Amino acid sequence: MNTFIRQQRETTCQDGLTELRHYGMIIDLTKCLGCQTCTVACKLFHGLGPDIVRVRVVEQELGQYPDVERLYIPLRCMHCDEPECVKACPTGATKKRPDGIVTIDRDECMGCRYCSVVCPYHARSFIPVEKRYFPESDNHWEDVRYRQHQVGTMDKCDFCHERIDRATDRMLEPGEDPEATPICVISCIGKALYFGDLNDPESTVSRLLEERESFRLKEDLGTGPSIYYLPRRKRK
Amino acid sequence: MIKTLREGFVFQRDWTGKGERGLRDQMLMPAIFFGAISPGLYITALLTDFIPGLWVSVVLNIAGYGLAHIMYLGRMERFWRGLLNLRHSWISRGLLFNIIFTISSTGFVVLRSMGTVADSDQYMPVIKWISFISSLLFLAYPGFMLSFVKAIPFWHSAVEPLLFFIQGVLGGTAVQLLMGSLFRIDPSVSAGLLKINYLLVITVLLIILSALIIKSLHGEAERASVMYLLGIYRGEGRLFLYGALIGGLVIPLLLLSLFIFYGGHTAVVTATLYTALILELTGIYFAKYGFIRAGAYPSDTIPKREGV
Repeated sequence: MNTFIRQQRETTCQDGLTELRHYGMIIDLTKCLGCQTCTVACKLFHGLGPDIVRVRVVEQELGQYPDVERLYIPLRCMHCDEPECVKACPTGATKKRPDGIVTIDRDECMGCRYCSVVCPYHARSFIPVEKRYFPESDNHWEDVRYRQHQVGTMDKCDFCHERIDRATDRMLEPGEDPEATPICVISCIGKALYFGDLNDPESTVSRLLEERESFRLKEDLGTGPSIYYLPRRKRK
Repeated sequence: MIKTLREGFVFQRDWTGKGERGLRDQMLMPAIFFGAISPGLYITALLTDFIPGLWVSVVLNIAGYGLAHIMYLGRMERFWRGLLNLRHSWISRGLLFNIIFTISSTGFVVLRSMGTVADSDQYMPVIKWISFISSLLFLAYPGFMLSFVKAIPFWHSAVEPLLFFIQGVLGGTAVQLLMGSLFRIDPSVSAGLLKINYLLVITVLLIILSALIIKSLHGEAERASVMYLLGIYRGEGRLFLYGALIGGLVIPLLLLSLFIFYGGHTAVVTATLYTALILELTGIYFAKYGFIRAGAYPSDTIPKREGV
């Protein structure tokens, strides 16, 4: 859908009854190489210190010997429709935005870790102490970037919402324009990650969901994750 | 993580009491323990009009629960923010119950200790009832906090609130009976408390055993939790098996049975009683530690039906 037309429609729907955008991600397990580029790109872009991981890729072995294969599964915050963390957070620091992105306000978090306990996807990291990769050296980058993350609070993936917010002001389309897309998606060397508006029937993510079989993790819990996985295609 | 996926479950790590902040990370378990003992003691002391017990309860609540819990938080200066999600969060509700309990119980104990002047005050029954109801709510809230967690099937049941509540009252009776060695308690009250304590030990034992049996019949993560508690999983949960189940319930039950059915007032018999009560209290600590430590998530494995 044309970005201009969409923003016009959103303006007319500001009565709060309709939320047009719902950002989500699709991960194609056939294409994921398990290279962890998304993990590293995320850490670099957001300046995350040791032990703070927003995106991780886990490995799973499937089948029985000799017919065995290895699967790589990128995991992160699922930006659920019914996020348990938002309900559990006693301070209201964890919030769900109208566009479906779940964020943490670091200035409000008191570090009780209940959100991390209730999250079925282990998507959150607690920052217990200030740690550095290069503690001996005078590293200006670490000085500046690590200070943004408050010790004693929680951290998690926020779909790089600052990129999305900045870019949509400039009429860019998240998921289509690299500047308006999460850093993990644009850095994925296997093109296994897709980001976009799940409510837009013409977006790449919607079309992929229509064309391909997909599933979400732990759907039985009723959390309604916004991250879909495309299963690995069978080898012929 | 690879091993985790192979095993099909992963134990929670956030509330284990282990971390890089040292003592501060270890403050959670004492907070949960005193958060049960304090309102439990308050209830028994209030019902038996045992003023020293009320005072000890207030001190345990403020120093044992309040300070320990605040120290545990990542940003302790923001603890007041914990009241901002009363609609959904059990931590918020627990904090509210605790604040009401702290204010009302302290107020009641101070006024009650002032004697007859305070007794005639028309507001005393109101304060008494507020403190009593808030102590009941405060006692049960950690159980609801755990049972809210859908991601951990071992916790997500109706057993936790009931168990946490009864354990608190059990701890309260045990502390009051122990205090009987220092303060004078009416023998009939003491005998009544002992019988209640005895029944509560049996009840807690039955609840824990039935919970372990029922949960072991469910999913892989719940079985892992039960195995952990019974010390079968890498032997890590032996504190629960020996400290809570055998040492904290079975042995006190045997000792209390001897005391109740064979009685007597010799020094040996009294020592047996106090040993049983101290074991009960340590058992409550280990039971709470074990239940929280044993929470396991089913792993992130992809559903088999997807056929990837």
